[in-house]
Amino acid sequence: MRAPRVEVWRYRALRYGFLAYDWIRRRFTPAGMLALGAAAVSAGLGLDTEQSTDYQAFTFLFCLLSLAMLWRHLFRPRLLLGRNLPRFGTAGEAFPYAITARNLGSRVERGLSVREDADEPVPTLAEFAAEPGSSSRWARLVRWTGFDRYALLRRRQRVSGLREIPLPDLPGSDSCEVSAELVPPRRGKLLLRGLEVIRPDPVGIFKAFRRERSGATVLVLPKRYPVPRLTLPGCRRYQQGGVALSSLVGESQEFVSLRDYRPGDPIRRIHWKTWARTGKPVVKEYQDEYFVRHALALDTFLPAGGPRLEEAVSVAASFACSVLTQDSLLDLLFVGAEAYCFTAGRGLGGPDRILEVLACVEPCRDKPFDALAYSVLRRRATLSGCICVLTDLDEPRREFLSRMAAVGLECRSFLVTDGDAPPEAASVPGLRVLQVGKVAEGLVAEATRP
Amino acid sequence: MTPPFLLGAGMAFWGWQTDSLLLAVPAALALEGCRSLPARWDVPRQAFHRMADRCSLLFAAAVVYAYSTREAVAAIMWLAETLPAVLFPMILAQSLSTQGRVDLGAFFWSLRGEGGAGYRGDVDVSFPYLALCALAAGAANKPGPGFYSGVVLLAGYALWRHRPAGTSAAAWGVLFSLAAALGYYGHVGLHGLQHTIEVVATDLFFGVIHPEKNPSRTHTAIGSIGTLKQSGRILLRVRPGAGQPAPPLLRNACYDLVKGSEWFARNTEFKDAPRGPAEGSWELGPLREKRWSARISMPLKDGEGLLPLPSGAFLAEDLPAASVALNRLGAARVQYGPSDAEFRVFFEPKASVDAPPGETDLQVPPGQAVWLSPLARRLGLSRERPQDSIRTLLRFFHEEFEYSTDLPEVPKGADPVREFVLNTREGHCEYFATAAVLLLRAAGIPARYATGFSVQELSRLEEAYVVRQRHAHAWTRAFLEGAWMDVDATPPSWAEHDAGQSGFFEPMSDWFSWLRYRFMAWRAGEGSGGKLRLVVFALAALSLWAGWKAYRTVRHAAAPQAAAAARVEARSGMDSEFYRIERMLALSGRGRRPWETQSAWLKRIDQEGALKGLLLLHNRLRFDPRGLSAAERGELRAGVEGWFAGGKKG
Repeated sequence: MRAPRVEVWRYRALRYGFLAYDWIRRRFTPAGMLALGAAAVSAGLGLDTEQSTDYQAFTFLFCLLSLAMLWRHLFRPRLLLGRNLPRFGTAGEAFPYAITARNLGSRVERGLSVREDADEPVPTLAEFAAEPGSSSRWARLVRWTGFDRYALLRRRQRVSGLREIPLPDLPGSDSCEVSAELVPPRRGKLLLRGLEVIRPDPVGIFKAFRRERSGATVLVLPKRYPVPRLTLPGCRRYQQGGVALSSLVGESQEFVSLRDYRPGDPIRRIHWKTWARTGKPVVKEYQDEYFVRHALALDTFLPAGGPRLEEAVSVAASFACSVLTQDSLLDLLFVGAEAYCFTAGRGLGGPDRILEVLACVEPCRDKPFDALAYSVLRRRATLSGCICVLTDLDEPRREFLSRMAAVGLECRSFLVTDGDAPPEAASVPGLRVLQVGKVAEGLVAEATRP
Repeated sequence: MTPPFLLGAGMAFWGWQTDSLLLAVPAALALEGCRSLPARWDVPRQAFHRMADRCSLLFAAAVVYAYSTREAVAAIMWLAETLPAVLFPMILAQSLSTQGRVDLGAFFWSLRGEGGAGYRGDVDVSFPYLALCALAAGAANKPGPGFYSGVVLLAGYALWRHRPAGTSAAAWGVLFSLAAALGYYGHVGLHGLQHTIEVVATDLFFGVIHPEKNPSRTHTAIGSIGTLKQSGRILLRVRPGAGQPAPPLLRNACYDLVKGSEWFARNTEFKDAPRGPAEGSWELGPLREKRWSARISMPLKDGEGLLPLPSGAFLAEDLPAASVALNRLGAARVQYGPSDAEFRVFFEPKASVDAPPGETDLQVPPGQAVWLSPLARRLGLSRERPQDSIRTLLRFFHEEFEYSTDLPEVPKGADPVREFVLNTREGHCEYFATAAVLLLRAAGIPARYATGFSVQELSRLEEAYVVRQRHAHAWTRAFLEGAWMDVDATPPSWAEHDAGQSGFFEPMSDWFSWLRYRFMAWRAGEGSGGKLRLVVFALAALSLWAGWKAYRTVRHAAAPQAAAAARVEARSGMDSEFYRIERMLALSGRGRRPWETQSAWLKRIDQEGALKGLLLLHNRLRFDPRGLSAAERGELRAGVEGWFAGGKKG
């Protein structure tokens, strides 16, 4: 759907306004910003040189700012920058790392600082048009400008903690290490483009930059909430093919005995050597495996990413970490480009693997919800219980929940909504509604549910 | 925080430039004295918010005062000049506070309270305040090198103390000195540039954008097609002298040369009129006996404009202006006058002071002479005495022509004046005036084209003649018997015709216009003096302040009550029936004493322990987080009812 013309103009004005604002904030020191503001005011007051002498202040400030801006061309540091990054971060939580700097020249470098070379986020028009904005008093007041929505999107997408870190005086050929910190705004891959080395001009109003291309990536895991210990049914189910097949990894089955071939046995189980020796088909028999296996079904069927999907992923991640997987298996089921199933537990890998997968979950726009329903119900024979994290409660989802109940599969279902619970939620037994922004409270309430 | 003495120096600099050292020096001493004061106060956020609100209120009062006593630009300058004084409480509070910073909510209403923009923080306002002092000092417009030197010194001190670590002093000195030197030459150049631009812009303004305001050139609507729509906005108010009629025509400008649809005035340099005997009086011509007078009030945009004057005006009084200049055709231009002028003009209708006729006043363009001369001859204009010729001319136009603002279409290439006189015989005042000038000239009578206003509408509301925009008029000036006379060839019906164009809302807009006029007159200190106005302003500001305080008090008083009501509602079990028993016993003189718990009270009055069970249920209802089950709730209710029933029986 195309955004209305007014919205487009509003978006453009905000976008270019914020770009200019970001440029000023990045380039000028606080003293420089004050000088810039004073120059603008003095230009206004001194417009008529007969009426006030403020034009004299304007010319002085203008010359000072211009010279300081020209001075940046003299800034040529010979520095090698690098960082020691962790493999993972978590959305919304600070992760510390180290930045190393080495002076390749022979001169002492003083008054330098480093900063991650990251632009401020620029929300897209589609995001801007889809953003409902907050309902605070201030937001209502400036709604007609769209400012609150744009600022909210920027805040949501911004990598916080980006600040200038001062470097100590660096003698020639010497190196140093400083600690830095970042707060990734959302899960997924966080691309760090490079580092900037900064030095203000001698009067301290404009900053000169040199960029160092040192790209790196950190995988940001989804945000997690403290969740209650869920009492899912612990009955063991027959896992055909044993541990290895249950997790679709490896061939190390527990061998028990040999027996005569019965029609229907798979050819791969025939023990060829014994057949050759005895002259009749004999098959290998394995230990039957019975253990607890849970599914974590994540509903990703949303037209676009957004807070609802993020919260749903966070809820799934929280459960993936809390369900004990030492003696049981946990299947993460969701639909992306295809229906995926990732299994963790019993030595197949801990919840960290599931978190890595969840970090990269994207909304599914081209398939119906039935794809997930089919994926879960297909495995019903092996599953002891299921945790469903839904993002909507339409007819297919309600039918899915009732079918789960009909086949006797114990299911704990959670619905993540933007606002209040939909009226249909009351008709679904055991459904817990979690409001975006109040998910932690909702999950705590789940713990106290009888 | 600013380095020592910087803020004080800034404040003193402001005081020096604005001639308010008496105020600035104690303020500067107070600000610097805060540094050596060992005590600091814990100023809460809300106190900063309230202080900012009061400063804003003070500023709003200053805005009202400035705009009602000054021109727009002067008001802005005055406000800028006063701002450091208005915001002084904020900087003083910051200097005395423990945190040494001001909460951002003081400046942004949106950041106050819980529903704010989600951004919290505080800011050190000392440097912005210093910049404000410097810029406010500039608004005082004190000539001399003091301002530039002061700004450079203040900026130099501030920047030197906050220069980045590792900066060499030499580099700092080079950069700053270069900026100071370039800034000096820059501002000298800028000042010169403004002069050049002003000259070019004035020419452009009069030549292209607003030629109608140019007293040496006017554009007429002759030859245009369509309907003239003119507004009913009131432009002038005319009060004739006691027992005198109003002057019928007020002239702005006069022109002597026609080219196509444009009239030009030649050799019209303005020369300053001599000042009259009284303050604010100007001699517009040789002084005569003061027989005829009129008081005219009019707005002067930016204090400049052309005065509408009756024919034969020789003296203007009560017109405070820097200069009044006249040209040879009788246009009077005011410079640096009040935005709303009200002056008295004395005139002698039959003694015009305009320059005597010259060659141009008899010139008829050759293309028009071809058809004008035969017409003049046919009307017999040249044969008669001048007065008779005028009468004949007026009869010709009034009887054979019709007034119309529907501008007729003129055949391509045709002369619109010729079409008007010979064919259509329909047109508006510009046609009549132009045709009359040309006909008189063809008959050998010197004539000029005059523009201005017709005075025709007496307002009952204002008890004065009001002149609206649609009363703008053009007429002819003819030289008869040694004097210039007004000759209005437009048929008199034009007044009724134009009055028909008045809009539905005109009475309402007239009323507002009158209110504004009264306010402006009051503001100008009509008979009351400036001190009274100051008192009124102070009272208005005080009442605003009091209103605001009252509002805040009421709001604050209302809020706790509402909160208390909400708390009572929120307390569970307040609907317990046990309270009925308590009330009943209190009425019978066995009430609970203020220091008694309910159980102690029951122990005292209820020896049998009949109410013990009910109190237990009541207490569970009130304080047990699990509350009472429906059955237990029913039991409490029934128990209370039973107690009442038993008591009645008893």
